[in-house]
Amino acid sequence: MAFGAFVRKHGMFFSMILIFIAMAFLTHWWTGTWAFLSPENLSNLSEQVTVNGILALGMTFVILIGGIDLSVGSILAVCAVVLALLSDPTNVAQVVPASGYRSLLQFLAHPFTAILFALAAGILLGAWNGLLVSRGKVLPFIVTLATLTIGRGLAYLASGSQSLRVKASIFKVLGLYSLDRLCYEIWYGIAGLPREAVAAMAKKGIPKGDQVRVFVESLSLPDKLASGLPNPGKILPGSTFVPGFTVVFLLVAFLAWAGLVLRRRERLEKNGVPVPPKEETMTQLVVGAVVFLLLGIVFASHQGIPIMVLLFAALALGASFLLNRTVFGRHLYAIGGNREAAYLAGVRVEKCTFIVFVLMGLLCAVSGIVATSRAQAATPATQGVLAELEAIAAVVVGGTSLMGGVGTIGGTIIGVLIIGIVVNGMILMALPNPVQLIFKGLLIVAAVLIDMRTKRRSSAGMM
Amino acid sequence: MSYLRFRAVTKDFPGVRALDGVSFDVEKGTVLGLCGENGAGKSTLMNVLAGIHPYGTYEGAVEIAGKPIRFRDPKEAEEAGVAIIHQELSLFPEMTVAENILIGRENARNGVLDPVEVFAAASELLERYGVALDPAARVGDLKLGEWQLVEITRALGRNADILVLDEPTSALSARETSTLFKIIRGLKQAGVTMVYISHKIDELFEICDRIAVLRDGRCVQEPTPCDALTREGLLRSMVGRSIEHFIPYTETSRGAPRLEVREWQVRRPLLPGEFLVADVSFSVHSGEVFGIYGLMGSGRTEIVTSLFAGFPPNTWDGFLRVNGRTVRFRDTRDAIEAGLMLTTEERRRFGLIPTLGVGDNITLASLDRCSDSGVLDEKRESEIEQFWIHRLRIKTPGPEEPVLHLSGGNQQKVIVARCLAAEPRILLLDEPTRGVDVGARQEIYTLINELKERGMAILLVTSDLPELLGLCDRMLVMHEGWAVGLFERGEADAETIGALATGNV
Repeated sequence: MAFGAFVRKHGMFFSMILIFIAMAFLTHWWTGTWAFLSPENLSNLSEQVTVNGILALGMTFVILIGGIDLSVGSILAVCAVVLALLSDPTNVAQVVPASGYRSLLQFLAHPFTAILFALAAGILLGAWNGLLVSRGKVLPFIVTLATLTIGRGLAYLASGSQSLRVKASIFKVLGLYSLDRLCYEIWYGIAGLPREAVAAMAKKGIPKGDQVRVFVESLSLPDKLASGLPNPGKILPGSTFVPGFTVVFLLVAFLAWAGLVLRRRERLEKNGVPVPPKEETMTQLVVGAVVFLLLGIVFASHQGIPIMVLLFAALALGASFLLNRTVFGRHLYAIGGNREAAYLAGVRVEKCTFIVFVLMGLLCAVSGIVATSRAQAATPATQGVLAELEAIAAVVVGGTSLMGGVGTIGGTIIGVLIIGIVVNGMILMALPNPVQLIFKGLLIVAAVLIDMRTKRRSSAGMM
Repeated sequence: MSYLRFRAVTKDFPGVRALDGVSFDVEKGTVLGLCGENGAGKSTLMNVLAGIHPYGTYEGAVEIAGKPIRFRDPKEAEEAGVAIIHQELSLFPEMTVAENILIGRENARNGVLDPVEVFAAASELLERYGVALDPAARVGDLKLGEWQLVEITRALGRNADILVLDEPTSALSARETSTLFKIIRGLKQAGVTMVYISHKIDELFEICDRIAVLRDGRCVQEPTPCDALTREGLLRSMVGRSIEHFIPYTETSRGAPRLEVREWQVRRPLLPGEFLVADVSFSVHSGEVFGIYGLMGSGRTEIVTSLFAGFPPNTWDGFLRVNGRTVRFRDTRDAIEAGLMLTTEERRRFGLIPTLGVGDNITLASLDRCSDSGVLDEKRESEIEQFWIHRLRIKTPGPEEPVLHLSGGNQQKVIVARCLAAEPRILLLDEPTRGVDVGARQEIYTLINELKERGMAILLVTSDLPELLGLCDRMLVMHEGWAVGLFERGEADAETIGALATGNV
């Protein structure tokens, strides 16, 4: 049967579904509610996995070439701190004693320069790792272990060991907004607010510059914001928040994806490349449609797709493209499969290794920016602690071989989701943190054991 | 008396029948030569014997001394006295010869090893079988040929009474081979039953009592005493057709020099004082096959690998001109861009990417030709793959097939295809026919001649004398890093070259 074969081929995807269902029942049994399945929780879950997910993308590259990066959590922290420090002159004043250096930093301080510097910090630390591994021929394990502590030290140093808040609106957009909220704000910013709403807000004493934001907030009322801000309540009775942008976006995305799948199949067929049977492609499309539909239901019943999730999706697509469709990606698979042979086939192993670590650093920076935006603050002591383990775990659970040469971005995303589902469920069940840590570890062991079993079986038929 | 008996052994792999009702007997205390092309089923049959394919995964029966065997894993086979010396050696380079020989059967007291005891036990074994090796030497420092001897001694130390030798001489020099044969004869006297797998027909005639041939999973030649067989007849039954010219040669006119090498030196990476290649000069012209002949350790592999920048840049030195222009390659990509391409000697270690499919292995060095600014063009890539699979007649279910599922000869063709797909003008071939069956070997020879006719400059490194004499227009003989002779085709015979290469001048 076609569906059976499909399930077997995409075993990991369906085990994720099973884990998801199991977690729904487990949390229901434990807490007596179906809170796990609420759109709010699932939306939240999607945001929780984003930070680790972005790291895991880079980690897939690193592990694919047979490397490892233990420093990602620390690099993330450095970038987060640089971002927070430079995002706001008052943060600079808080950390740096009065001097010409302080004035320089305050002159530079701006959300956009902050983002640039955070990205540059990530690239720089990645390049440091990459140089030592590729040119210095030091084992990645050792190099990145050193960077792990160096980075943490730098993070403390750059922040004066304090937590720094970020206040600029771009970080709110990145960390707290959904696609629909952003679109509503843009829309009302251009088209202007309804007259009655302006009047109502003027009466409440809301300054003109904040009116659009407050109005859209009043439509969507995100709980996270409500705590820190004066809750404006409904400004216009009857005005509701319709996440139409998300629905349209998902619809377009689904159609684009389906179109790509079909066109690719057609192209391959035309050129005489063997393609999977038609039923399989159909099953793939149907499963894809169901996934998109469920995403639509979840996100549309809450706030719409979070911006950071969109960012993660875009990065994942990019990473997948890089691995599957570019010469660089193929070279990474070759290096991981057999380093010497790859070199003798003309692959610039050192250069590729260097680039992979730089990419990892860059993704650490992006992840740090997202994490800081989500928390609205950078905390040198806790940010990114054990992030390397979570990222490596996701990659390994996702079926990438620690020996290198085998692995996919799709698998990594599933790995990220599996870990995210389990962690989210444990939080819902209010398990104490130590217990969570233990279960997380056991989950990794179980996943690797299962993976090894299935691989051994499939390679048993070799001559 | 039949000691080892195969009865209608049939083994299926997904999509392939590797063995199809193979039946034959081996007498106690004799050597059976087993030959056949790669993929003929020899290794599969031996894996059945050694418990690598456990009982129940094949049909038919194997009997030892009249008792049917039912090994569930290699350990049980070993306990029953079956030992296999594989083509791929499985030693621990960081350990000593003695430790390697005794690994797994150390006589530990309370879990504590006594190195003196290990040393003594190993020396005793080495002496008993006449293997001249220092038990205290680190295996990593030994020559490849000596590894084989360590491996054999290890198996004998386990009281093996059935010994399977899979291509044991593929890495051995003539002298090492004769040592091995001495050992085999001694074992025969001691009543050990042996199966000797080899492509080298002369060796089979020399050491075996009977010879059997497998082809496409069937036994096409029952075990037959050697004097009832001829070389040609054996070749015929191996490939299933008669071989007229075993090594073809095409006359061409020599063109302009493509590759000029002057005062080429290669230093041992960790010992800067020692030279692997010392001041070698030669040139390879368009439209010729230039052969380099030498034994293990003569520097023959090192010279081509370093020309291709396969070694770190600080280990080699000298002057290199490609098409008249002086070049200095920083890495292999530079070399490929200058028109060079290398097929490596050990395809498992330095050639194949085991995690990639057949197609991806083929296109690996020529991805520039099937991509636009770094983005792969699947259509062009697939065209290149199909072309070469077709052109070299690589037997594979499809380009997606994992490359390790192919037989050795087809794996080698994949490596050759990778090289040619990069469209080189200067081809460096390092032992392109090692471990390759007769059919594929023939095809590779034909291909070399065709490429030569089209004006390619071909540098062929080989340790196979007939191949050197049959295929090459000029030949350079190396001994311990030095070039000791340069001959035009027909100027020297096998004896002269053999004597030069072994230093017996």
